[in-house]
Amino acid sequence: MIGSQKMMIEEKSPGAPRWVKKLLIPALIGGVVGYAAAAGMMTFIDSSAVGGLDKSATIAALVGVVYAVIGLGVGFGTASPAIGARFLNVEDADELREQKKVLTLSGAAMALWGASILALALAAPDGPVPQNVALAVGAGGLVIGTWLSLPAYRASDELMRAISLEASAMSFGLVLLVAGTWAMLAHLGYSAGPAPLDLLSLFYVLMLVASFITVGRRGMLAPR
Amino acid sequence: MENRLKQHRDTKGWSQGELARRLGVSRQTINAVETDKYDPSLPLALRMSRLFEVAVPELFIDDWEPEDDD
Repeated sequence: MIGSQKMMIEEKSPGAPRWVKKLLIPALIGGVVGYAAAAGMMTFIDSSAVGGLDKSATIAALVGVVYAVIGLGVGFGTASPAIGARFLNVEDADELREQKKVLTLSGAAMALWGASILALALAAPDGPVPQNVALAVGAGGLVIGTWLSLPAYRASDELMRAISLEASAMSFGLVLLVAGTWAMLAHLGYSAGPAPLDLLSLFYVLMLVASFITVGRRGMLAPR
Repeated sequence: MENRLKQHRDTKGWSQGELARRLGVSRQTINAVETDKYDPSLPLALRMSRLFEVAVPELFIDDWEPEDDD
């Protein structure tokens, strides 16, 4: 989740007010890229290649797209610091160079997690991805992404380690609250129980929510 | 916790990046400490005090007072 806090964007364009450079332009870039990716996925889902998916699979696919976009954005920004400093929330390109290892690993982990849930969302029989391929990508992406997050954690300094631990603790609390409440209602017959993909989507979304709350509380979403 | 890290850094004429490099942490950490969003670990606080040649209580201000035993 370290990568996600970097997707809060930044600057350039000499002469423009600070809030335009630090907030408006990056937010617009993020919004346009995010909207385009989500719209592209919805178009693909509705195309003849897929023929539509149920609600759980559609939500899971969109969650996968969000993770993939964030992961690829962080990876691209880190690989091209001069460009990355314009849309990632850093002071300058050198800061991206200084944190290259952590950000590259984190970005790769997020992209793999995104690919993992995306493959599961598009799995047969409803989707076009054969089930054995979906299993390989789903499990492989999850395991390799998690494996990459370990060296990223080790290469982090104490602030990032504290944030990782806080975000993990908060996401557990959120999962307990949301999934627990859902399970309680389903057990008592007030609602349908969560489908397997719903649970996966919940884990992914709540982890992202917890990460953003944590980095926000540490002042890391404020423009640098 | 309130701190005087920025004042001491300014006195030395160092950027956040320069201080981060000297302490072996990220600029984000320096920024978070200076804006009171993060209290550093004891080892990092001790490194800061050695770097600026001041006592830790000179860098980090805590209003807590022990209760009187009487």
